[in-house]
Parts: sequence; structure tokens; C-alpha cells
Amino acid sequence: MRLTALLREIEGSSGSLTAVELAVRLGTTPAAVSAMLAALRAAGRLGPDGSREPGSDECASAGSCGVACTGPDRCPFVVNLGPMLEVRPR
Amino acid sequence: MTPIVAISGCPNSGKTTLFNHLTGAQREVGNWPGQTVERSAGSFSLGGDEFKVVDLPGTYGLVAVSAEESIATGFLSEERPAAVVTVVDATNLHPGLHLVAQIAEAGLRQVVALNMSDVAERRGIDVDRAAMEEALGVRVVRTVARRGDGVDRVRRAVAETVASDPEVRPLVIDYGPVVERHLGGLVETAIAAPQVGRLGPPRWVMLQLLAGDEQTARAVASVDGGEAVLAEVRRAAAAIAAEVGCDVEVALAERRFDWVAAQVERITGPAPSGPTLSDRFDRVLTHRLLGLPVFAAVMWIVLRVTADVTAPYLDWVDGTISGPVSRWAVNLLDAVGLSGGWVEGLVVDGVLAGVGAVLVFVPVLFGLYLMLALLEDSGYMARAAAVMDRAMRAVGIPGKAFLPMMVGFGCTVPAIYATRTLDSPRDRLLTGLLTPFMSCGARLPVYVLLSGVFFAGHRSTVVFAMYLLGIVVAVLIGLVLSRTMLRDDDPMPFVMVLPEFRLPNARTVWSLVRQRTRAFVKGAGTTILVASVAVWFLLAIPIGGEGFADTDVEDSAFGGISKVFAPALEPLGFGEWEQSGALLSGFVAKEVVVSTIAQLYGANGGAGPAASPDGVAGDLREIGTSFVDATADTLRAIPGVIGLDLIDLSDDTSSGLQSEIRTAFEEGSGGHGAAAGLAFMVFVLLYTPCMAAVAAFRHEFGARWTLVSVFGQLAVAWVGAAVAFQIGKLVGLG
Repeated sequence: MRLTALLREIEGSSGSLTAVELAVRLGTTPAAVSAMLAALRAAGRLGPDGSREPGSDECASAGSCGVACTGPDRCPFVVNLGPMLEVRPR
Repeated sequence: MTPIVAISGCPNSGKTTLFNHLTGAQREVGNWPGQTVERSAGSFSLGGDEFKVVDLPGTYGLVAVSAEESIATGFLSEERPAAVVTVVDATNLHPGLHLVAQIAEAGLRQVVALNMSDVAERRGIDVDRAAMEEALGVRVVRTVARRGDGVDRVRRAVAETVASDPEVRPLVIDYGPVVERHLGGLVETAIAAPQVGRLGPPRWVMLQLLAGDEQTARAVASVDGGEAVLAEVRRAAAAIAAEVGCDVEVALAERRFDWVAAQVERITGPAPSGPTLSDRFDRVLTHRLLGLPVFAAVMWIVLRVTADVTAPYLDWVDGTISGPVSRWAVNLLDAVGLSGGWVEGLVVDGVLAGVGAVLVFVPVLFGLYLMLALLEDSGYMARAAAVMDRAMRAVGIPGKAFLPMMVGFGCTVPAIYATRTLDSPRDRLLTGLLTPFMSCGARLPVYVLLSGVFFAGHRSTVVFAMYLLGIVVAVLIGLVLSRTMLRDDDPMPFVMVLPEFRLPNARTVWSLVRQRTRAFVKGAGTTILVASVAVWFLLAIPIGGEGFADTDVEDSAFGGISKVFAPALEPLGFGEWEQSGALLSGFVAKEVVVSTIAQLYGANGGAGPAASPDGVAGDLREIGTSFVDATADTLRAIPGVIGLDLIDLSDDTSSGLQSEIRTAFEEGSGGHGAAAGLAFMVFVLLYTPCMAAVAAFRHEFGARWTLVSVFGQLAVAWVGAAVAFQIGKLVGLG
């Protein structure tokens, strides 16, 4: 029941967690945690965070900030910080 | 009928690159019906047979949790293509094999493209292709989609798979005695309802329902006997959960995880038991106590490189624009008979002085974007976000708030939009109110200019202090707001999937630097150009009786407007009308502060470009030799990052503009020019970033909160600058 334990760890925490932190808490390796996260992601129990739908809104200030901004996530100044996953409601 | 081949895979597995190679130029791009998600379709021929290829949006599994995933899973279950090419990242098999397993359970014919095989090989991941074929029961082809390697083999494998027996035996994973017992009953129920059985292999349809897939549930509900089947599934799910002690979809995921882990071990051998080098780095870089000082040290190095190492190029661009470029403009105007009049004033004192003053800072921004891109592509920025998120959460600011704030170091506008990643409206608003205090790239030219005038030997330290002050002010205001107007909700937990540490890829870094620098230059060519021209016209329009473009700047319309606001800034040490005017123009964009300063003080003290004795050839020679000198100085400045100063960076306060600025600040502050300069930088850091940011804020949070934000920032900026000026005077900044 490793996935169940992992889910409980995530649900019981507040704010961000990393695979390294979860590995320490579960007594395993970060690689094993990443594999478990992939399993929960594939099962639909973890999903991408936030409420953004692709292309749901145009940038209100397109052009006016001097940036070829065609949407909130298509601006060259958006930093790629890797994916974030959160527990999906049943 | 042309067989349809779907290309599926997890995001970033190289799926679309493989699709492009498979279809070549023969593809159509549009949107999926009723969606804004892009749909690409194409075709290829092999041995006289044609195959239609559809590139599906990236998905991790067949239980959809996003719009893109719904499209992918809907296509696979409803269209049931003749074959599916599933692209699996060979460097990270687990996510890909979960998808492969689910597609195989759905009874679809499948070819696995084992992509990024070259990278896996380099990392010492030995993937046994034959073992993989045997384990998964599908054709496996090694590919390097980036180079197009293996694409022909994929085409042949697809053709052979499509030509094979269409009655594919779906993969059967053992889900354990409890699930299997209930599943067996459900499969019989599905078979008894023929229309449900037509939606796909009964076992797979029942597994999808147990896993909570809403699309399958809707499909089942829409057919005869479907509601009864759904009721049966709900009963079975509750019974399974009670017996196994967890949600049924987690019970299914546990067993599928075991199956995938067993296949990965079979294919690549046992997983390493200890932490990797990247994991060891993470333990230090994301450590609760060490993480923050490490982040501060990294930012200090970034800003030291940005402000000091690039300084020689700044002088080179400045010299080029104020010298040869201005001369060429004057000569050109002379040649067309427009010299000496207001047009020359507009071009030289308006456009070239304004836009040129901003373009001077392109090397500085280039340095900043280069350093940030190196950190981003190495994977460090994600760690920094995790560290800062924890620190901010500790003082009551919502988790994830630091993510928009990191974006804010580049530009406030996308940072405000990035607040959409936060869950509650309260968290979004709070983060939106704090994000403008992060020092965006547009403020950097102001710091570099003024710190060069007043703190030439400590320029990078002053710039670093400004960035740090922005974070500190955001934290303090967040503390106040989260305990008063915007009280804290329970923070939502989330997992940051940190990318592996790696050496930055030169192509990716260059792409990021190029895009961001181009955006900055584009801003200089649009917003700042318009603002510079507007400021010049306002400076040319007389309030008194003198003629257009013939008035003293103090008696111009710009001077008149600026004087109205100047008294409010007197307690801050910069109550001269030129300074209030520069800040006023900064509402358009922060770079405009620099261009306005250049126009105002340039107009007071500028002597115009000196004539070149050797003409254009001499100018070009001058540009070339000064570029070589700047490059040599830059190379000598690099050791300064670690304290080995081989070049004196404190001698660049001698330009006419800088002398004018120093004199004006000295006079306006009663002899405390440096304290006033510091206060001015603090004000620029804390007041409204730009009109575009205000528009973005209004778009996201409405007019009422926009007013709160704008006036709140002005109040904070006024107080912050007053404190900085008084402290500066106290410590004897002259």
C-alpha cells in the first residue's frame, strides 16, 4: 500500500513537497517516489495544479508590454519551474 | 478506408517531434472540435498503403484530469484507431509504461517508440528492447525523434501492426483477489448489457468506471442499460474500498504500479538503491535551513555578473549611440534639409536620447537573462521556488505564491497572470498584490544608472539590495494582509516535481536569452519610443510665450505637470520637477524613467554629438575598437565575481549625463545626493510597475482591487523612500 501511504503524506501536508522530502518521510529513494507519483498521475488521483484551461484567456495587455504575449503561459518571461501535482478530488 | 494511427505519449516525451518526422510536410493544423487545443493531423505512405496520423495531446493515462487528456482518451476510446504509436521516454520509463499498460488493457493495437534512446545510453540506462517487446507484447522501436532516427522503422512497425489480426487480446493485469472477484461480476453485467459491451473490451470499460473516468461513465450512462451498470459499479467500488481499506482507484493504481515496476526491472535491471548525485544536491539546495542562504548567494552572483561583468558593454553601447549613431542621424537630417529645426530636436533629444538611453542597458538585461536561463535550464530555479515557497508559507503567505513571484523577476505582467496557478481567490489576490514588489527587469536600468552615479564601486551590492528589499517588502506586506484583510485559508498541498539537475543546454539557454532580450528591445522600439516622443513634445510645448521647441524645459508643459507633483516628493530627497517628471513617465513603463532622465538632464547639459574627423569609416573603426576594448574589459571583470578585481568599475561616473544627475540630486536634497539617489531607487522598486501591469491586474482582479493595488504601492513606495532617505542621511551618505 505504498501509493496509499504516499497519498496520505501529500494530503496531510500544507504547501509544497518535493520527491526528496517525501522519500525521507516514506523511507525510500526519490526515484521510487517519482515512480509512485507517475502511477498516481496515470490513475488520475494526482493532476496538474491550478484551474487553468489551455488557451482559456487572452493576455489583456498583449502588445502593450512590449512582449509578444499571446496568452498567460506563452510569454517569454514565464519561468519553467517544472510540473506541480495536487491531489484530485474523488 | 485509410487506417488511422494515433500518436500518444506523456507530455515532453518527444511525441510531436516524432509526428512531424512521420508525416513530413503533409499535415494540417486546426483545433479539436469545441476546444482551443491544437489538433495536428497528417499522413504517410508505405508500400503503396496510406496511413492517416493524428497527434494526440500529451497524456499520462486514460483517466483524464485535464482538457488535453480528455481529448486524448476520448479519441482513443471512441475512434479506436487502427494502431497507436505510444512514445515512451527511454530515460524515464515509469510514466510511459503506465500509459502503454492502459492502452494495452483497452485492447488497442500498439507500437512503442522508445524515444531519447541516445540520452538513455549516455546516462548508462541499458534498455533491453527485446525484453521490453516480450514483457509488453507489442513492437518496440528505438527512436531519437530529434534527429529523425528510427522513423522508418516506426512506419514499418505500424504497417505490420495494422496488417495483423484486428482481434487483439487486451493486456490483463492481476488486480488482486478482492478487485478481481468484483471485477468478474461487473464484466458479466457488462456483457449482459450489449450496448455497454460495444464501448470497448468489457473488462477495460469496467476498470475505467472503477477508476472514476468521467468520460466512460458518460458514455455508459447514454446507452440502454447503462444506468443499471453504473449503479452496480458504484456498489462494487464501495465494497472493494471497504475490503482493501483504500479508494478503489488507488487499489487499481497500486497493482498497476507493481506491474510497471516489475516490467521496468525486467527491461533495465534492478533500480539503484541509493540516492543519485542530483538527489544529494537537492538535500542541500532545498534544505530547510541551508536552502535560503544558498539562494541568496546564487542571486548575489547573478546580480554581480549582471551589473559588473556587463558594464564595459554598457559603456560601448552608450558611446555608440551618443557618438556615431547620433552623428549619422544629424548628417542624414542635414542631407534632407531638416537640420537645426525642431525635427532634429525630436530625433536627437527625443528618440535617440530616450530610446538610446534604454538600449544602453541591453547588455545588462542580456547578462541577467543569461544567468537566469542558466539557472532555469540547470534545474536550480525550481529548487529556489521550493525553498522560497516554504519560507513564505512559514510567515502566512500562501504556498505557490513564490511561483508568480519568480516570474516577476522577469516581468510583472505574466507574473500577475501566473497567479492563476493558485487555488483560492484569496490566495490569488494576495499574491497578485505582492507580485509587483518583485523587481522586474525593466527596473534594472534605473538601478544600474543611479548606482553607477552614486555607488560606482558597489554597484552590484546596491542592485542586489534592491532585489532583496523587494522580497522583504513583499513578505512584510503579505504578513500584514494575511492577518487583516485577507485571512489565511488552509493551504492546499501539492508536489513539485523537480527536474533532474543537468548541465544547461546551450541551445535552450540561447533560445531563452534571445526571446527575452528581443522582448526588451521590442519594448524600446514601441512603448518607450512612443513615451520618449510624447515626453519630447510635452517638453517642446511652452506654457509661457516662447515658441514650440524653443522653450526652456522648466517652462514646458512637461515641466508644468511635473511641478504639480514635485512637492509631494520633497521629503524623500528628490523633489525637483525633473525627478517627479521621470517618475510620472515611469507609469508607462519603468525603462521610461531612464529615457526621461536622459532627455531632461541631456537637454540641460548635453552638448550634442561631437563631429568625427574621419567620417563614417572613422565611426565604424571607433565602434569596432571600442567593442574590442569592452570585450577585453568584460573578460577582466569576470574574476571580480569571486572578489579578484582586475578592472576598476568605479571610474565611469564621468559622463555628462551622470554629472548632471549627481548635481541635480545633490541640489535637490540639501547635499545628500547619494541618500536621495538611494531613496529614488527604492521608490522605483516599490511604486506601480507599468500600465501593462495595471491592465493585467484589472483583468484578473477587477477595478476596485486595482485602485487598492495602485494607491497601496504608491503609499508603500513613499514610506519606503522616506525611510531610505532618512537612514541614508543618518549614516552620512553624501
